[in-house]
Amino acid sequence: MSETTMSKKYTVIPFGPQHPVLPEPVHLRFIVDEEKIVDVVPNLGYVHRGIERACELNDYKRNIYLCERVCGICNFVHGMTYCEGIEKITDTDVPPRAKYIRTIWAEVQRIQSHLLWLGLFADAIGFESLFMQVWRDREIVLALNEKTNGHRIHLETNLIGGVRKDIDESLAKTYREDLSVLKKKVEMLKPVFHNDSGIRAKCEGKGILPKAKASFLGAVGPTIRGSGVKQDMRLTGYEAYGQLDFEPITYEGEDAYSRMLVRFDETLQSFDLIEEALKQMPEGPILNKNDRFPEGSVVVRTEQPRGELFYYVEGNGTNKLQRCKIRTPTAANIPPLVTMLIGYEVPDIPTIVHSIDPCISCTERITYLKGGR
Amino acid sequence: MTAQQYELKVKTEDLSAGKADMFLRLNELKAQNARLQTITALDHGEELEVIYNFERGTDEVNLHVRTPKREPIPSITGIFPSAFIAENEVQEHFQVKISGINVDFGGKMMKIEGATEVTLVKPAVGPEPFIKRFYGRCREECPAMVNAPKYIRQILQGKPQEGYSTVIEQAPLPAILGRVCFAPCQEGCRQEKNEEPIQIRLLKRFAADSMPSLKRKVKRAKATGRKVAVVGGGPSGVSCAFYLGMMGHEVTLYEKNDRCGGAMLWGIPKYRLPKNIMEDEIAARFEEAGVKLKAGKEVKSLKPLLKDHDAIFIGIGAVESYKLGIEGEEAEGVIDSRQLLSEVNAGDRLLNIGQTVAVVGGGNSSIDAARVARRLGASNVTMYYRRTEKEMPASPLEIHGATQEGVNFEYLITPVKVFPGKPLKLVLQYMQLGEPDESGRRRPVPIQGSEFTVVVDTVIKAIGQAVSIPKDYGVEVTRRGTIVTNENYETSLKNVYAGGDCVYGPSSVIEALRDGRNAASAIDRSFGGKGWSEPSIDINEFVGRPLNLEEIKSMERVEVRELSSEERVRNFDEVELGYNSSEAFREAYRCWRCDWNE
Amino acid sequence: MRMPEMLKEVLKNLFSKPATVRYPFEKPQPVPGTRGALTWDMERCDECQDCERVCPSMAVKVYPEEKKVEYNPFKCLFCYLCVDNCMQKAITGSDIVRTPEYEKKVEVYESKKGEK
Repeated sequence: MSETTMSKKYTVIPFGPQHPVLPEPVHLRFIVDEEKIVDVVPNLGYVHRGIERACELNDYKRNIYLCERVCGICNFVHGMTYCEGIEKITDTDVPPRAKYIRTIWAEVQRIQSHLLWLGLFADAIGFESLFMQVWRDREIVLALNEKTNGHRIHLETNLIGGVRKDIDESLAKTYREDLSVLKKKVEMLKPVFHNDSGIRAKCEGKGILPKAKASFLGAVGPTIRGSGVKQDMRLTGYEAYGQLDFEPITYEGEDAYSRMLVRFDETLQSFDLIEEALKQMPEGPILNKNDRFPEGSVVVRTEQPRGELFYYVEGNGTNKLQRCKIRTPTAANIPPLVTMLIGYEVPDIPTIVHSIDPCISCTERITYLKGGR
Repeated sequence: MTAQQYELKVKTEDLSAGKADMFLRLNELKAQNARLQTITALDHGEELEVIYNFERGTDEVNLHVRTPKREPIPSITGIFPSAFIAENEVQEHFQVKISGINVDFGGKMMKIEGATEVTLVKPAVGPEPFIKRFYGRCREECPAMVNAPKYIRQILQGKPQEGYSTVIEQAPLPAILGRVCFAPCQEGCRQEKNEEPIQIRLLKRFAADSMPSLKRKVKRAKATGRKVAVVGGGPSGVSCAFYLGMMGHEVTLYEKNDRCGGAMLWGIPKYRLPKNIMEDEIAARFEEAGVKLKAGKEVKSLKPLLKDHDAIFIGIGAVESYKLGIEGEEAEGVIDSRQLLSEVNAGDRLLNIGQTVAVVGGGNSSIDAARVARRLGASNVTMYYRRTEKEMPASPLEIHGATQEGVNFEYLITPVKVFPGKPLKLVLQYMQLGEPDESGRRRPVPIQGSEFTVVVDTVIKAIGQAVSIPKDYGVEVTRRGTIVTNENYETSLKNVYAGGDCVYGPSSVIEALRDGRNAASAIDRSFGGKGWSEPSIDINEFVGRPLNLEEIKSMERVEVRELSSEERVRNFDEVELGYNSSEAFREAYRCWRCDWNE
Repeated sequence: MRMPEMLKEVLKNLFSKPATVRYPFEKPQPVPGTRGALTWDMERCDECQDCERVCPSMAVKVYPEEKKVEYNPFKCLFCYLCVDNCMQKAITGSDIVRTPEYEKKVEVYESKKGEK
């Protein structure tokens, strides 16, 4: 946060928690001079729910379901990361088939999350029919989730040491059929996103994040990949990503347009990853129960659709954890957001704020302590 | 979950400390992994009593600290950082100063409306403070609370000898119990709903059979110098002597017969419990505990014992028999079942009781008498019971075994008169069931004019045992003849304790073992010790649910191999052949682990 | 400003039927495998409290002495851990998704059998 000296009168516009164009409640205060943005003061903490404290009071096995509810859209990755943390502390080996199944579902979540974002971005620009089109296609993924797991969004199939449900032959066939239908529909939208002059005029050149400053400010995910830096947690090879061969997608544009292209291309890449994982999946059991209470501490990092997710889990030998700290990618993307907004005009605000893919319910675990701090 | 279900025996410990040694106590509690829950303060005018409430495992600990209100109280946030909210509130409510709080909000947090002087101020706590676990229903049904789930797990891990030691922590005779116990644990098993409870008793026997010689290498506690005398070598006496010896006291056991065992010796036949196994096990326990055995000595008065010893335990059991109360009872050929059994079981003498035998009674010992009669060569053995099969107190296992060996059962019949002679003539009468008596069973009422006579060689009386205490003991007895005790097993005489059949009437081996153990604990506590530790759960032992529940639910019970019916009645060899290790593994695999805590 | 790429799609959607299900005139088909409402069968239940121990949101309360089970469907996550862990198979799920209601009522299941 920067302090500005008041030498002339500026207007402060609260871009409040409730706003028609925002998907999530974030509170930003813009200090504008006529139409130009001079400074931004974010104020986080509106949807603080106390999840980290609740993690210490619950049994460590119930925490999987609690951590899955940190975010609604990217919930599978939260549960998977937490399980990975506990497995590393207790030295449990996850069977290889379970690793592949988790990878497949994480990629399905990525498709669903990026399609949701593409629709919302189109809506923020003003392109309503594209918004409806993309969301109608997203229904295929949600119906697929319901057929395999029972719920449309919260899958709830992670367990410590593996997964609960198996993907057998008939289920794999269902996946292939439905996802190929979806792939055709997404490919039909490719010329729209890449070439359309309306979208281009609205977001090309807006929200520049220079490459030199991007990693200094701590940007993660497609935000930094849109600035030309090749940083992707999936390259570290957690779960079954070590066996899959892919390159992270980068664009050199450094603006909102290239970030959108990164996400669109990642959606298409996910289809290929799922296909390859289904082919490579070995036989075997899907669950390996552990036999210890967690004791010790570990740091786990995985790749959420929005960036790098960071978990610190510490256990003290009983069935309740000592500490569980979660840092989500949107929290890391807020300082770059502030840098990106300065110098642009007020009508550009929705575009730029959307281009970092804000998922504020993940973020808000910080409060300000007044009185002496 | 509400707190009044399954009493987990939560212990609350109250400690006091002054300001000087308060941090010593807090550091101790921290080392024991206690968690701070709440802080309460009581206003005593000039002083304030601060009570810190901790949770340690499944216990609660309260630490009371009294300080004058003028002086600042040191904060405990250095050791328990989560106390800062509560300490801020205490500062605010009681107008005291707490110095050195780690995170200070300047007193601006959380005002409680309507707070009085004695108010609980607490940090944000979760919904359930501690782990709620079960013992497992099998363990709760056992009178002695033997840790059945634990030794089933140890058998599954391939360590049956550790399972043997697990049983001895609560009941010291596993090899005997694995053969004779009536197994209330199996009735508590949750798989009993579909008629397939785990064979816990046979698994206990397997654990005992896997020990090469029933002897263990264990150490007694340090000698305390106290001397205790135990009167009676039955199960309650053996158990009391063993636990007292392991706690370090010097024990002498007086037994009337030449051999120990009590009701296990004369009451249980050799085909259920081979006597050499019984004696080996009792001898092994005595050796581990350092107990001196004085066999063949009957104790007629307690006064000489009270002079030499610090405490006495009476476990003489129920050895007299009830009389039938009919004319002709003293005729030759009418024998008492207890007398018959002790001659056969203990004395190894094979009496000749003829071919046709009538047994009067319906309990387990009557069936034992009938089965022994078959082995002694009687071809026609009939049991007469005055109520119906449903009210018979014998266990269904025994009735099944007896029927397989050719014993006949006749219900709703009672004897009226015996005509002496060779052979005897026994007059019987039919009964019908009338109103229930005080035990809840329907009282039989004779049908007038329905008498009939049968011709038998021998009549065996088996209608129950009675207790008779010698008058020279000087203890108070009830109308039925049993000793009067309070819930601490103390009698009316100082330093004299009693337990087992002589207090509660004829019951079972496992209940007598429990009485012996509890009485040993009470004796040790009266000497200033801590007693034998209560059955509890170990929080830090991780018990996981079995992985493949579907496979376990579909497995069938493993039946034990037995001798065939023709072979059985020819000799007194053991009928049940026990499990081998693969059968035991399969049966232990079926356990649902109701005490899981993962 | 030309939008030639989306124009084809827009015209196609103008003349086709809506993509949504016109609730409440048409009802959506229940998909087999959906995790829907739960019922307890008290004949098979033996009050072991496993479902209570495993539930992540503590929506089940079991009272062993009174042989009663209280289930709060408004706290339930429908994760079906209780169904998987019940050894006597007393809990059954269905594929009917619960509708919203005006009052939050707790369902109570009682066993009618006598002493065990």
